[in-house]
Amino acid sequence: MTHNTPSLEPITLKVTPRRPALLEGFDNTLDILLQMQAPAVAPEGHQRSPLNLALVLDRSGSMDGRPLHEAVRCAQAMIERLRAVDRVALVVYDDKVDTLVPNQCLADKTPFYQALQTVASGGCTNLHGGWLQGAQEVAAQVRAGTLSRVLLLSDGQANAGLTEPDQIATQCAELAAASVSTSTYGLGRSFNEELMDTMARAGQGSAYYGETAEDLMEPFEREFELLNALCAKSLRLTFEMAAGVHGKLLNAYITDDMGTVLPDLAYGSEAWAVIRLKIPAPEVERFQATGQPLLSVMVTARNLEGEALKTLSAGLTLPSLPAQAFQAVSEDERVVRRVGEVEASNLQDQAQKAARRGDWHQVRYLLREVKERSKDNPWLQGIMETLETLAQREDTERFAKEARYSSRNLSSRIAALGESADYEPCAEAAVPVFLRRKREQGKKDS
Amino acid sequence: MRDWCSQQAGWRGTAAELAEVVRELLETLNLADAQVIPNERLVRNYAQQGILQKPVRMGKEAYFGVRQVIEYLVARKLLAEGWPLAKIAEFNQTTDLNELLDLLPRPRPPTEAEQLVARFRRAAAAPPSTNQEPLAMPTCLEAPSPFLSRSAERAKRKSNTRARLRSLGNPTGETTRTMRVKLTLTPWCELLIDPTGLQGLPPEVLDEVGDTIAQVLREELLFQKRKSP
Repeated sequence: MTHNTPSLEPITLKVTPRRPALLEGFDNTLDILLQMQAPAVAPEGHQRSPLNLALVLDRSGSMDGRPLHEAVRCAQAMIERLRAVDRVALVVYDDKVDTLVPNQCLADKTPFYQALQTVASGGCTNLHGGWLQGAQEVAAQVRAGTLSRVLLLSDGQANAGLTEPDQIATQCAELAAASVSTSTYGLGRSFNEELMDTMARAGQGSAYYGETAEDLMEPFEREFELLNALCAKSLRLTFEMAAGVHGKLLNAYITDDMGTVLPDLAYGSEAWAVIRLKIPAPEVERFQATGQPLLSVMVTARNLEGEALKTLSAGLTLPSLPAQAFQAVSEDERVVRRVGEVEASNLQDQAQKAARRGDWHQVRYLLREVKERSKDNPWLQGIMETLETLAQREDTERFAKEARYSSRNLSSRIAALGESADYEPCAEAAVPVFLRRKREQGKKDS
Repeated sequence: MRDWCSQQAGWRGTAAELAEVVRELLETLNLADAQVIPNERLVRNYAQQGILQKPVRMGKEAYFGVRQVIEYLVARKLLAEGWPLAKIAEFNQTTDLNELLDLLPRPRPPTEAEQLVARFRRAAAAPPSTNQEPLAMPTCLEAPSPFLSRSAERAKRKSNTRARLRSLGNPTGETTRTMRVKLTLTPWCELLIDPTGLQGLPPEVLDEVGDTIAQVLREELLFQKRKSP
C-alpha cells in the first residue's frame, strides 16, 4: 500500500501506513510515515550552489585557551574547504562585536587567515549582537541560487545585548523567511542549549554541540558536507484529513505560513514525518463504502536556484478488514522504527526538562520507558545507554544538553535512503557524515 | 550615488579606507568582481596611473576624497566594458564629477534580509522597555564597576525611550510587538492571523470562524450600502 508518485524529479513522496488496512468495527489509531526522498546521487556535473556565510565566533572570556584555539581552527578548516565563488564574513563578539573580515569572495583567503590569528578572548557574551552582525554581512549578498547562512558559535549564556530567547528566535525565523538561515554550535557545559537549539530551529538551520573543543570540528564537517550535498530546500508539508478523521504530526517540526517546515534535502537522503490518525469506527465503515482517501498530503520545495519544484501530492486509501484478517497483515518495519524514534524523542525532551527541575526520579523513569520501547532499535539502545550513564551521575548540564540535542536529532534528522534497522557504529563510517547515526551528539565519532 | 555623494561630501580617507568604501559601493552597485577585491595597493596603483586624481598629502599620510571614490567606481565599470586603463585615466581626468556619476548604475534596492536586519537594529537600539525602574548608581565613594555603569546606562536609555513614546501619544510608554500572518483572499479582503492562535484551534472550530466572518461581512455590506448615498 505504499504510494509512489510519478517521476517528479528530483524528489519523490512516499506515504506508508504502519499497517495497510483498517480494523472493521473499531476505532482505529494509525501511524503514517511520509518520506520525501532525494535522488540517490547527484547528477553528473552537479555543482553545489555558491555559499554566502557569516562565521560568527564567541571570543568571550570563557573561551580563553583551548576553546578559542579550537574555534579558530574550525573556522580555518571551513575556509580552506570553501571555493573561490563562495563568500564569507568573519565576525567575532564578546560584549563588543567586530567584523574582522567583511563579506567577500574567497578568491583570496589570506585576509581570513590573518584575521583569525588576531582573535583574542575578551569580556561578556553579546550573542545576539554577534548573530545580527553576521546576518547583516550575509543579508546584502542574498541572491537566488546562493545559500545564505549565519554559523554562530558560543560557549556561554547570552548576557549582554538582547538576551530574550523568544525575541531572538523570532528574528531568526523572520530572517530565515528572507533566505538567511541560522545554524548554531554550542561548546562545552555552559552554553544555553535552549537558546541555541531554538535559534537553529526557528532559523531553519542545524543545531550542533561539542562537549569539548576537540569535539567541535565534526559538527562543522557535518554542516559543510551537508551544504555540499544539498539538492532541495524550503520543503513544506501540508496535509488534510478526511471529515471525521483527526490527525497529528508527531515530529517536532515548526510551522510557518506555508506549512510544516521540513529540513533541507541532500542527495542520498530523505526528510520524513509521522502523522498519527484517529479514525472513529463509523468513519471506517464509510471509507470502506466510498473508497475516499483518509489523508491527502502535499509537499512543496525549491531547487537550489530558488525555483519552485513541481508540487508533490499523494492520498491514502485503505481497505477495512475483520479482526482475524487484520491481525494477519504485518506492520511495516520502517514505520514502526520511525514512530519509535519520534516517541523516544518526545520522552527524551521530557527527561531533559525533568533534569533541569532536578527531578532525577522522573528522568530515570522516562529513560526506562524509552529503553523498554526501543528494544528492537539498536541505535536507540546505544543512545539510551549514554543518557543513562549521564543520569546516574546526575550531571544536569551534560544530561540536559545531550538529551535535548538527541531528542531534536531523533525527531527532525534527514536519514540515509534505505537506512537499515541494524546499527553498527563502524558501518556508519560508510555513510556521509551528515547522515551518520550518532550515539552521542556532543562527541565526535570515535 | 548622488545621495551618497551629498551625504559624504566631506569624506576623506587613506588608500586603505578608500578601498574599504569602494568595496561596499561596488557591491551595492552590482559592479563587484570576485577576482579583483579593492585594496590599498590597487588604490595607490590607480593613483599612480592617473585613473584617480592625486591624493592630498597631510604630513606623512595621503588622503583621498569623494571624487576619487567615484573615479574608482567608474574605472571598474569601464574596465568591465573593455576599456584600456590609459583611456580610463584620460577619461577620468577630463570629465567632471556629475558626468562621472551619470555613468554609474543606480544602487540596487536593499534585500528583504537587509531590511529585516535594519529593523532588528532599530529595535535593539530602542528595546521594548520593562517595568523596571532605572538602576540606581552605587552611592559609595568607589568608582562604579564597569558592569553597573553599563547597566545604569542601559536603564537610563530605556527610561528615555519610555518618556519619548509617551510624548508621542503612547500612554504606557511600552512598545509592543506582535507577529501576524496576512492572508490576502481577494484584492479587497485581507485576513490578519495570529499563527500561534490558529495552530491551537481544533479543526471543527474553523467552520464556526468561517460562519462568523461571513456574518460580519454581511453586516459590513449592509453598513456600507446604508452609508453610500
